[in-house]
Amino acid sequence: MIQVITEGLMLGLSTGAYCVGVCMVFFMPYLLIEGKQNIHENLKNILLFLSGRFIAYIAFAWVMAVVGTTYRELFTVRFSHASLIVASLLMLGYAFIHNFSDSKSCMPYLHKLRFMRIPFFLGLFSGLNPCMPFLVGVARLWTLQSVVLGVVLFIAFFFGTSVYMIPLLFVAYLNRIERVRQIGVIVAILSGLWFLVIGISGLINF
Amino acid sequence: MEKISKKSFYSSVVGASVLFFFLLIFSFISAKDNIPLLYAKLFWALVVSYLGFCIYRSQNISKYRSILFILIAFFFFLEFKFFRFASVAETIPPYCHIAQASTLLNFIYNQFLAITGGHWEIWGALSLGFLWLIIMFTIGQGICSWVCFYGGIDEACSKIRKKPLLKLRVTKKWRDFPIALLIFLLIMSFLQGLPVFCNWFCPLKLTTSFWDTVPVIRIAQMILFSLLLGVFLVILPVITKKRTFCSLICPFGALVSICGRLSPYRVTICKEKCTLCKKCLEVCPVFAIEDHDLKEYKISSYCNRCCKCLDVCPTKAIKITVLNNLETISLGKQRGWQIEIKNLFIFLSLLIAGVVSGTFVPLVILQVMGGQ
Repeated sequence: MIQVITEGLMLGLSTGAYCVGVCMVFFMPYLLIEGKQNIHENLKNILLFLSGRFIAYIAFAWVMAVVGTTYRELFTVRFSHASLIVASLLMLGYAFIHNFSDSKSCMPYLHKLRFMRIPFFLGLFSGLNPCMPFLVGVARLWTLQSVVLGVVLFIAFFFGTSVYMIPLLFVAYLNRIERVRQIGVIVAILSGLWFLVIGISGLINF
Repeated sequence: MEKISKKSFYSSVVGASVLFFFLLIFSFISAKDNIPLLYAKLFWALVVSYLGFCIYRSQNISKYRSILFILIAFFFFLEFKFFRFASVAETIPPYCHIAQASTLLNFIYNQFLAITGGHWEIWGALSLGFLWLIIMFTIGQGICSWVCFYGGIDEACSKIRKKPLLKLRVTKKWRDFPIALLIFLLIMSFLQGLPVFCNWFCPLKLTTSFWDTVPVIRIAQMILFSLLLGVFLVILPVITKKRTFCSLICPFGALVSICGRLSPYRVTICKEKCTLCKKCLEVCPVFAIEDHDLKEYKISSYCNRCCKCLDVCPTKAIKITVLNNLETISLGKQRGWQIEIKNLFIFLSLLIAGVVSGTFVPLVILQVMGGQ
């Protein structure tokens, strides 16, 4: 058990910069747009995002450990790309609605999206993206041949990668400037479009 | 016809001669034992120095800067694409600062690997990184209007028509698009370990082998390359007389607008002298002049130091100064010798433009003449 925890932590710590890079693309623009000037609010958003990722990791590890390699491609390629598409659409929708938040027709949607706890869903769907460290974790999981150990590995992997999320806490403070918020919207749209294309091409190639 | 004053003639000759002297040293060092190359470098140094003389003599900065700028872009284009038109060997361009800006994180990571791997001698920061720092600490954003080859192409297209067919207004939000694109490219390039700008956005890649092997992606790349080349580098500059690629796309311009603050030089508008005639606003090719409720004009950090506004301002309210609004430096109080900050900036810009272009223009000249 301790060996599996250590492995998961080490995998997360060693590949976390890359892993967070992908998640950052989803979450950083959100923080630039919605970040608050007090640490509690920002921490709350980050914890929401992390809890989304946490659930995604555990659910994915559990399913992978149960079904084994039988439906490997279905889950690691099709399912993860579909999840990427959902995360991209969520972010695109949010960015567009925020961009037109002054118009009366968009205001109710923006309130709804805020109420929906967007960071949680961004974490949930981006947590399942087909990034390399995640796939390495999955490969190791299959060699363990145990559902519990698989889930433990991914929990440790989650904590290893989450260390790299700490700097995001300070990104939110940049949005004091209105210009930064606008830039955040554009980055969100660009990244959303990019991952939408990657998700769709991943599904087509499958 | 304006009478030529002897003093300004002599000071122009001195300024151009000092510039030629520095370029001469650079030519001797870089040409080594290659005599034809040395002659080509000396010829190019003369061209740059002569244009410097014209700037000092006429004080019409933007006109002669534009000639040099477009010439550099033309020669770069020849070096990059000449093999497509003539039977000469394909050459690799010496640098691409735009690709460097969008892959800055990859660059830093590689330098980290080089240092930790013990290969300090391949530490790029000693060469290109160092040059880049020098430029940032001296002319800053000036690189975009004095050295950059993309800017030269954009400027050449914007010069085709005498008057704009379309008056383009750009909101602050769209003016900030390059910064957003830069952030996006930095993260994506780092994640993919690839220069995403070169793969997807560089108009000059339309004729090179950067295309993907997957047909759908190839088509998408071709559409993006063509769109950026056609719309932002050719059509919009021609009809609006603005450098639209530089101001609405270029990620390097965005990086320089942030890092260029290291340079002490600033273009400032004197409130007392400004009559709000809008001439500067109309000629600025990169939408860097903001009108604050039509009460005052301010120059933003996107200013490329092209000096067009300086030349058109009827009341000479726009000046190049250093940080504390200093306009001149006194050399000898008794003799009254003074150097204008503007002329110092022009000198540094010409020197950097001469040195950077001196690494490829002489080679192209030789190649075109069949020398190499």
